[in-house]
Amino acid sequence: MGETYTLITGASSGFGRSIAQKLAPSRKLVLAGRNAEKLEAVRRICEAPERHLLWVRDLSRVAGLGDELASLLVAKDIGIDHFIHSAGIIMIQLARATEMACVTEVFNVNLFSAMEIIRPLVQKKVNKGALRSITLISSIATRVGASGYGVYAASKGAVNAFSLSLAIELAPAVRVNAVLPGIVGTEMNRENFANPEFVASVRATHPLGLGCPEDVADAVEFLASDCARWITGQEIVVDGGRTIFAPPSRV
Amino acid sequence: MGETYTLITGAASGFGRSVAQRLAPSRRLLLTDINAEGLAATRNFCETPERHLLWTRDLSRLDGVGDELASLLGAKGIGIDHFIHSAGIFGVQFARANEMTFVTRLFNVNLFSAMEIIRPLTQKKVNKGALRSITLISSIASRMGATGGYSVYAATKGALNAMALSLAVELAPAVRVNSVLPGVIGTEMNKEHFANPDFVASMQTAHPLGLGRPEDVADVVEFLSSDHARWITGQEIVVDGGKSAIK
Repeated sequence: MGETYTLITGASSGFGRSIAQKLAPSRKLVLAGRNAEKLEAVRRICEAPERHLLWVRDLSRVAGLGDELASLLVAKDIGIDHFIHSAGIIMIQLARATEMACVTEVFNVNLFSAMEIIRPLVQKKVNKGALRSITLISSIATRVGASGYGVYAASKGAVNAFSLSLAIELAPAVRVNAVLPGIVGTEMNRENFANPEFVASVRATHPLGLGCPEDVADAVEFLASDCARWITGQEIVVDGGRTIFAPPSRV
Repeated sequence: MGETYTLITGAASGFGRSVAQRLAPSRRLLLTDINAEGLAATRNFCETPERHLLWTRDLSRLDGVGDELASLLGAKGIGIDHFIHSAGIFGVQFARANEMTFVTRLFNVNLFSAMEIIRPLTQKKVNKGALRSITLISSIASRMGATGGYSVYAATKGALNAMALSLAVELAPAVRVNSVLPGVIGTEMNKEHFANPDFVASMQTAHPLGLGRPEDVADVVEFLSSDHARWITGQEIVVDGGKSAIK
């Protein structure tokens, strides 16, 4: 096998893009996303663009995902040392209006695609034992409830428990952790952030004020590095203090 | 609408059966499971069997679960006041051998069927606002593990925990939503493990309070789905004989 790359899903935007920019100076990256143009745009803003590869693939279609990744690795004769699952979709849906087609799509992208991707990455014949860490982007929706978030929270709660259990299964060779961001302005929630009232409420509920994607990318970079060599099975909350804050009641 | 019933999934065995037996003296029950014989047997163990209804349904076949439940309620002229999701399947699958058919089956029974059921139960036109509580049987596997192969099962249970939290906020104040996280207890689901005396002995020593029984979980479920828990919602109650306190 040739060189090893860090695989980032959801690299076209949001946290994935910030993570790509942060890691590009020191690593070779495989940037995965469903939009070829956006992926190419991200590659161009990374340091040493020619060093990084693109994998254009819609993760909501899970069938064949693992096999296609395996073929890609074999064709390029590369391995994956770090996997960062930043692809994610949100869906606000009240319990009484639950639609299973939407549920399936959310789970496909947020969790099942990661399971399928991990399969070849932990197969010796495909990845030759190259994998060192897996970092999954979860959410503080697993710690703080909100109306309409049942399905989204469920998908991220699944990510948390999956991450913890996998950490045991893959130890000691591979560390597995989850990062739980607070409410950060990205493409995924740009409609909300266009509303000044929403932004004001985020400011009011996050003791450290508004966060940015780079804050999450910093934590991911740390977890996917040797600086975190003794950290596995953990949920790292990056939320400006939101989850330990009980906002005063309005009188 | 006529009378209200407590709906228990997975009622043919394990925790579901124990919960049914515990609740039967004081409630009308709607018992559901894939296993028709087991359901009938559970009903026979219950006090006043004729008071309880049976619904045989394979929850791994997700399509139509919600609509069929709505039809059942409409046909019988009844409502559901408490929903206890005890249906669950367990399986071991290592990450290197991940297969989506396995993942789908576990998620359908352990999580998605609960979503499908909750939909009609929270629709005014179907359940007329009768719902008072939802109790989801999760697992300490969502918080800790001993060995490999459990990541998919753990994921289904971690999903239940997080869903309970958000539903608790969404459905308050009318409906309380909590999850119960049992430790390792001998039931149908893991009877192969418990057939091994060495395993049983190790479980005995690993738990500060010794071996647990399905009734220990049924006690907590009864509490959570009663007025004694009227100010408790969005919580994960661990019932594991102290295992998680010592690891």
